[in-house]
Amino acid sequence: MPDVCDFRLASNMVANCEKPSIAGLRNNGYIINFDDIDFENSVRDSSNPNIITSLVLLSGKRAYNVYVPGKTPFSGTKKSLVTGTYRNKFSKDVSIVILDNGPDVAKNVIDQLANGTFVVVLENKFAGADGKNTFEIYGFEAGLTATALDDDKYSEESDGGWACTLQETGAPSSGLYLYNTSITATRQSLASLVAGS
Amino acid sequence: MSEYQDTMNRLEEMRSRYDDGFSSSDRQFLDRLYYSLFVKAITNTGCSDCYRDAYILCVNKLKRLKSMPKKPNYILKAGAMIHPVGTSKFYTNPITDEVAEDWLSKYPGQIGMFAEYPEDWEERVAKYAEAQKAERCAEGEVSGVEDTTSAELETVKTELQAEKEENATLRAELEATKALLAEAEAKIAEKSDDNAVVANEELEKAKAEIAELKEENAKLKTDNRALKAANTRLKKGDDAEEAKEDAEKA
Repeated sequence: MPDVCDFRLASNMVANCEKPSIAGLRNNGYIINFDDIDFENSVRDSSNPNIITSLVLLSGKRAYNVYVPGKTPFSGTKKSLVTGTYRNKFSKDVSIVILDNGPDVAKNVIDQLANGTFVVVLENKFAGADGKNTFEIYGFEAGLTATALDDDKYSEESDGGWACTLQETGAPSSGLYLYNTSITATRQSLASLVAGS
Repeated sequence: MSEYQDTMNRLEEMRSRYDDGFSSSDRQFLDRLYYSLFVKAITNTGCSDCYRDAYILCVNKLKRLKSMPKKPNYILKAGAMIHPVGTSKFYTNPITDEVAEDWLSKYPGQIGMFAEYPEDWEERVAKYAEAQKAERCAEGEVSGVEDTTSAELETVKTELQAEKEENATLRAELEATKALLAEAEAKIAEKSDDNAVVANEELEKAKAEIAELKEENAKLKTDNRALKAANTRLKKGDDAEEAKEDAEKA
């Protein structure tokens, strides 16, 4: 381990002319209880630790689908730098609109979101030159917790449902990505997350 | 009560909510059941009709099967995936014993990827590894013979190639020699023409010399005859003088 952290650029900052970047996210995402993740068996890429090649859950646990319809799903999702005394870190916000309501939703979703810690995987519209930008993970390091949960009955934003903002603070990585060999294989892995064990 | 009967009872109980819409726990149950029966997730989980469709598909399949699908011995944890090195295959649940044991024979440390596995998994993996080894050995013998044959074939091919190259070299040399020979013959022919002219000239000279020599010889013969005659005459003259001298002495 080096005695001094060496923060140096290692690549050009250029625009991808062949595959221009696209703003936004796709409509489907995945949410996992932070404590359900098997961190010991989850694997980061040895050459690029910002890539998680295997996101594994503990026995009997599963991920849950998040579906937000519309042209701008998960609107408000962002990452921002937060300056620190010794090291600058990142704050990651994930905005979800839950277009459903009722006792089941309150018991199984909202009450849990209010107090739990979570990890969310969202699918970027811009896959990147090599497809590795497709699936981005939020909350893997410090966990996402709810900072806002609103059920505004006349809000056009939530349309009778719940508007939820989850935030991860103090994340050392600017971005973590789920990618194993190909997008197809990664999608298969995500399907198995939802299926559970 | 069997697992199949439990599942069918739960599905029957859910039927009352079929028209009004399934609860979130119903949807979770359907998610898992659908995946275990069809090995894929329910498409577009945001719509109620998709869950209704999934419900019908699950009920129909279970009625047809009349039992729950056989639970595999090895079950991967959610999100875990087996990707054999050097292949384009990816395995998630459900996986066969062969896939799991093949993986574990190579990476026994990754047993942590499995949510469920047999208690005697180490023995099973060891047996699998032995069977694979034996199979490889058998293949190795066949491939050994194939290797030998192919090695011999390669040797013969190499030799043939070398011979071909040698033949080509020899052909080239032969052609070069033929060219040289033709050149030499041409030169010889040219030279022989020159020689004939020279020989004729020399012959003419020689003939002329011979003619001269013959004339000279004829002259010499004539001179010789004259000398002989003179000599004879002289001898006769000497004899007469000797007889005179002898007579005088006597």
